[in-house]
Amino acid sequence: MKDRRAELRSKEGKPLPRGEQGSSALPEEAAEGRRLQAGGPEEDSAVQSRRGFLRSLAVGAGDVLAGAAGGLSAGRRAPSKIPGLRDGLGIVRPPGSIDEEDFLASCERCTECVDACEVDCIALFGEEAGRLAGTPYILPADKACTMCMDCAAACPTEAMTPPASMEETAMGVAVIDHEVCVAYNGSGVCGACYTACPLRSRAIREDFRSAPIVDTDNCTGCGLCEELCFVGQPRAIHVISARNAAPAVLRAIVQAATPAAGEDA
Amino acid sequence: MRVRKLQITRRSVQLLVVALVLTVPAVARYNNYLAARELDQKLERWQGTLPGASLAGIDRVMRALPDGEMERAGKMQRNRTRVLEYGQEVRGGPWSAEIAGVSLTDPLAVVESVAASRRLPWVLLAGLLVPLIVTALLGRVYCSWICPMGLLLEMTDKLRGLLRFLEIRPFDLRPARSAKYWLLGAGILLAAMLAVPVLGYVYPPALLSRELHDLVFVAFDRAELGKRGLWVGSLSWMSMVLGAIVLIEVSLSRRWWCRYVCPGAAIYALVGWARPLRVNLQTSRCSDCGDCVKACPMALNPMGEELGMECDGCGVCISSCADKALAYGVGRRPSPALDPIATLENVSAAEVGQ
Repeated sequence: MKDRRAELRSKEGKPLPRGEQGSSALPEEAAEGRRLQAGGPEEDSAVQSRRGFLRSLAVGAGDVLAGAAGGLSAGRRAPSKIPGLRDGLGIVRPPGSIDEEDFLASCERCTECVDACEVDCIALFGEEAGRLAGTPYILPADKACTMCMDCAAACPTEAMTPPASMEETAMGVAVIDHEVCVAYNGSGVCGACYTACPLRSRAIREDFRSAPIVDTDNCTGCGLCEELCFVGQPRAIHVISARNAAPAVLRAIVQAATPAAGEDA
Repeated sequence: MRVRKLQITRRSVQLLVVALVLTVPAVARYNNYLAARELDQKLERWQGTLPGASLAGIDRVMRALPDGEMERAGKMQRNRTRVLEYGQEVRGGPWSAEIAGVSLTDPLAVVESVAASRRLPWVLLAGLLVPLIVTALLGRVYCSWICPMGLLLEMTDKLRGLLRFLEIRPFDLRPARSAKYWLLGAGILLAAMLAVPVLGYVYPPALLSRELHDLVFVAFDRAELGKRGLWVGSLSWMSMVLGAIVLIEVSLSRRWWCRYVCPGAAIYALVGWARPLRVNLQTSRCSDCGDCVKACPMALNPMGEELGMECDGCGVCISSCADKALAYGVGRRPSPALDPIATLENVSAAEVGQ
């Protein structure tokens, strides 16, 4: 089996613009242009800030993320060739998925969840993912989950079951990169992630600068904020996976990634 | 010219299954575009392309369904809500599917999932209902009427004839049929030990399910990127497994996978062990020509002992019998040795020189 995202990404692993005249397309080029015009960080320092972000994640993450990423150690810095593994950020499974070990045993590797998804955000791991091959994942940066729960209702082995409500979904937690987010690094005012969030004012709120603050207890990890983040590549907000991570651990990770108040971003 | 109605029927069912396997993912994409309110844009922009044509065809069918269209602003327009509901009624493939509310799961998928996960949700049992009942009554007809691999192997079987035409005699190795039951057992054990449904990675309907599904989805993805043509790179090692099966089929052993190896066939055969529907021989008509034995893809002997659980009900023996001595029937017939009257009739008929 091949991961069909391989066809949808450039050689460097960047998503290709889809929908020739911008249907489900992300405002890639527009965001790129905007950033460069504002004299913002060039490609290199964007990568640097992303590395800094990942380093701060690793402080709190350790083995948890290693487990969540299906075997990738937290020390790996090179971007994963496997899109769904997202170098250290972990796998975002569809909503209502059971624990990872049980999931890998129950998942039939059929295609029913992919067919059921109303926004076509679910892809299946390819053969390079080993034990994970054929199992579903979501890549919020490409296409986020709208939590319609059709996939969970479709699963014939109950590897996913529809949660009682949107709020009870636990796919992951959104973490903001303060060096990239334009509201935090002083470049401007945005609010895209706040507007995108289906649980806005509960899972995400804006402070007086309209800088976003995520409430880790309510955030479901759907990734709409990540998909629609205006900054472009790399995003200023990422969903980290909740796979095998207790809420307390996720909170610790988020805290480690957030510079203390009063510090310059 | 002989028209073999039974085989035409069976072939049509097999081809319908393949058509369904290719259509279901296309309907899923149709639904995606409809939900995102991009369908009309796609229909317009993709005219003249294969994805565009399939979307147009699906649209036509959807509109023809009850309430698929409704009058708005003086014209008949697509009833979006109802069509979205219809579109959600089909998903999956030969491995696991749900069509119009009927859950269909391959028994091997259920067995592997249960062995690997030690969980048995009700919804999984629901998918077993139709396959188990049909197999318990009719036998392993899945293999000859539904399985897309069976269709593929019947096609490639003809290549053996081509080899013979080229004066290359392919082998016809016939190891033990019991091998597939042992392999089934090993597959269940392995799934339980590794907590991964391993047989799902080698079972051809599961492989074909994924490969054909990917082919369709990637075709649509490429259309969105403005690229034309199928991406054969979407095929993977799974296609190589299928290719290897075909290669061995053509050169070494006819229908070897179905006869000696397939774990799914093992389950179907076991479930169909006490089935009422059989292919029965009317010995009074049989002229012992042996055409049926040559034709049988499962290497069984319709003239001999009653056809047991290995018979897949394909009816090729029925269609190839010039004496019309074979037919589907209910219940087992006694073997010729136990039917002295019929044997005597046969003998006297032969003496008369019929």
